[in-house]
Amino acid sequence: MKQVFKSELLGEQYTLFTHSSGLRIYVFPKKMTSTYALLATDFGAVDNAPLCDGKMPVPDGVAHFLEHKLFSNEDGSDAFEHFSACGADANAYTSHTRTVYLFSCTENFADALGELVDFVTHPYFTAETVQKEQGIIAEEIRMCRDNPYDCCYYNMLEGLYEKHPVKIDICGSVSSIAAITPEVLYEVYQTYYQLSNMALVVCGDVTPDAVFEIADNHLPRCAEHRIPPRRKTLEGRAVNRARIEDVGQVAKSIFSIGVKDTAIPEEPTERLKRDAGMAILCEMLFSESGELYNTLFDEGLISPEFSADYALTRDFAFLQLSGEANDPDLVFDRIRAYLAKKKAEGLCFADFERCHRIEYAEYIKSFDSTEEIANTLLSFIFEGAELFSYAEVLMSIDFTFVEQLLLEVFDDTHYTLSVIVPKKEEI
Amino acid sequence: MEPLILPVGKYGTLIYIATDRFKSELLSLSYSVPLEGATAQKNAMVTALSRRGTVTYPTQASLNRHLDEMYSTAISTSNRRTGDMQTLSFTADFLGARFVGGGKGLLPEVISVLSELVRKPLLDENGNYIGAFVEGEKQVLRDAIRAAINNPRGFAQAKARELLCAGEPYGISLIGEEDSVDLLTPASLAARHCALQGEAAPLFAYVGSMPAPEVVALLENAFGNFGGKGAAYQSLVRAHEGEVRCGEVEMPLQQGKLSLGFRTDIAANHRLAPALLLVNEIYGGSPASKLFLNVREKKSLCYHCSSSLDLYKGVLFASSGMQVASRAAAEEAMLAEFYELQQGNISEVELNAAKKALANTYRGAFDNPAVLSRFYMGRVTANAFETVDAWRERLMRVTRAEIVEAANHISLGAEFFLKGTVPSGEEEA
Repeated sequence: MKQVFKSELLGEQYTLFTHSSGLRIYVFPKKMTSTYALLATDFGAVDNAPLCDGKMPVPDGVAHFLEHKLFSNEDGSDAFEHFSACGADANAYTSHTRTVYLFSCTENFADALGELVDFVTHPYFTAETVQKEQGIIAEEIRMCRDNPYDCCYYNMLEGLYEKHPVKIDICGSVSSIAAITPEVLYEVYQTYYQLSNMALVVCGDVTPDAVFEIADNHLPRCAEHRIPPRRKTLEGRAVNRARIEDVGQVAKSIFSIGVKDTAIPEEPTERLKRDAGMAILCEMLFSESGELYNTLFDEGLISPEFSADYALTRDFAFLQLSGEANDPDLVFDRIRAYLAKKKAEGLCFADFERCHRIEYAEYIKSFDSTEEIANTLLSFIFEGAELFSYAEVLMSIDFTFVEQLLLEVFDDTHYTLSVIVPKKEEI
Repeated sequence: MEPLILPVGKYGTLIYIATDRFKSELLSLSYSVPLEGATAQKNAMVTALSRRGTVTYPTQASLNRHLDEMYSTAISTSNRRTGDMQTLSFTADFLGARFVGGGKGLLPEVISVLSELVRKPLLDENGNYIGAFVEGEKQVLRDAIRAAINNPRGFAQAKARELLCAGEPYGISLIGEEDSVDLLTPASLAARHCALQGEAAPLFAYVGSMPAPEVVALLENAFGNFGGKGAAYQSLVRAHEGEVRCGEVEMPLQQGKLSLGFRTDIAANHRLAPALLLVNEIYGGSPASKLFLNVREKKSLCYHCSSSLDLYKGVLFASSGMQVASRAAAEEAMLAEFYELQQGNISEVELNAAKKALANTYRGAFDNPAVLSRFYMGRVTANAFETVDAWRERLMRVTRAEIVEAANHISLGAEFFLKGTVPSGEEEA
């Protein structure tokens, strides 16, 4: 099955093939030098439902561990070596909701794509290689523990959520990964790496039919179609903890304010609209052009690096406000007071128009990189939305919708403050 | 996308790269001045103060709002080393003309704002910077200096660099030390701004679709009499002599972070420059490198183990994070891989992988205006101009013998260990 999506605005198009194995193959032709490809599964750190009829617990960090281990081939070689031989730059990452294997190349695309499909679809784990990986990942975990920004982020999630697995560290812990065995990896793989749960996305100077043909040569004709288990964790709007403080290797306190959002629309287009609306609202409230940032910055209460990021998936949503401050509690109070004032007074229409235009420009600019296009397209695929529809959704957002979001999302009971303070001797 | 190098006014140069491949365009302005302890911090402050307020946009908020109105044009600043020079840059990223109603698009306005930022900071009636802006930026600078400890790996590498290039411009900080921040005044900074205006030679880079004569005309109109001849490029490039300089600091971290500093007499203009790049690539530049495959994957000693090269200074750093108890083993393994390279133990697979990875990197540069412009700005600044394609072709012609020769021009000069003091057993609560 083949379907073409076009955008008049952007002058771009992409093609979707549904392969007989169940794999969805998206090809976005783009006259660039580098071609970027990714093969991803809709499986991330939040997917921790027990397997084998509830008899096999899924250790924290298993998605990330599996991502590392898939690079080891049965013949003892490493997939990185094969990509290097093609001149392709390969990598992988695991997020809360997905695992992605990728490469970019400027030559030998067919070989590299074949390697990508082959290594991801041919798992090979032994007790010895799993044990070796435990050592490497334990060092990665320690490295992350030494990163105060990571600690602040995970404490913020702990503050927001009582039980939702989004608060689990993507790498797991040294003790949780110690419980990982080849059997666990194979079971997790069989459950979540079914081709119908995955997507292949290619963006570059390629033709859709040629990409399909290469992938087809490396894919099975048909494959099992089982719906992977998804644990639906229901949480109320109230946060788990209003404040978490930790001590870390920082010169000045760093903070992360979390705002919990549980009003997640079921319908993908509605979710997209909420996401776009929140992008505009965050720009209006928290950007470097706004009243809040400039007041706090001019008073010396925050450092220049202050950011707002809204994350929305089918299963969780939160806003994160991050920065550095001598007195994060005072900053938190000022932000809450500002939001309360805005809710009472309403937003400025001119600000809305300016920020609407910014989102439009950012959307267009995002189509200048094969890497960015492929990753954005993947996000839309796994969220059940269509990439080019974003422009239409963006245009459909009016001032009233954004004002409504302001009233709905921000409330004192939805906030948590995570702070990492300097060690005493460092002050 | 071959660049044109064009004069702009009396002292300026434009690197012009014509393309309609992108939906956005890029314009940057940089100037390089000798990296010196007496001026580096002031130069950093002058650059930062430009964003605080200008004659037309007297507050940061008004400037940012204007950029927002220009379809979210982003202007970033940077402060980096090019050899022993301090390179200060302003880079604008903006939507191409066809997405903003055609005509000349946003470029004229972008040039106008850049000119305003560089030439017309908001000053008081005495010609000095606004006191409140200076005090605010001084605090930002103090915070940035202290925040070095927030990034343990970067901290270890900075310390290794200081040891390796002690007494040289390259060894000093680009943002200076905390004790000199208090001495900065609105008047001293205004004087520094004035001096930069007269001595720095502006180097522009444009990646976009407007014809070159029009870009030059717009730049000359805004910057025609700006700057001066500029200081001659300088970079002390030499092999390390004497004992390896060692340093160690303890911090309450779970891991130890080791940074090894190597030095060579090869830099961008040397005949072995392409071979040096391959040395780094084979040693620790990619997941196919000796450090990754042997120290990480085979010995399982660490998660992160890689190397990086500064071609303009001829310094190479290898860094790794490991349990403190594994420091000696990791260091021994990292050095052993380097000695393997010096002895010529480079497999055909490693050589091909390194060449292909670099070919991929430099071909891929054409997809990224920022990477492309940075490549050429470095090359022009260091008087080592060549095109990306010519450089890539030289890389592909490098022989194994040249790589070994280049590797034997390198010696270990410094090692710094950031020793974690938190017990590294099972740390879970």
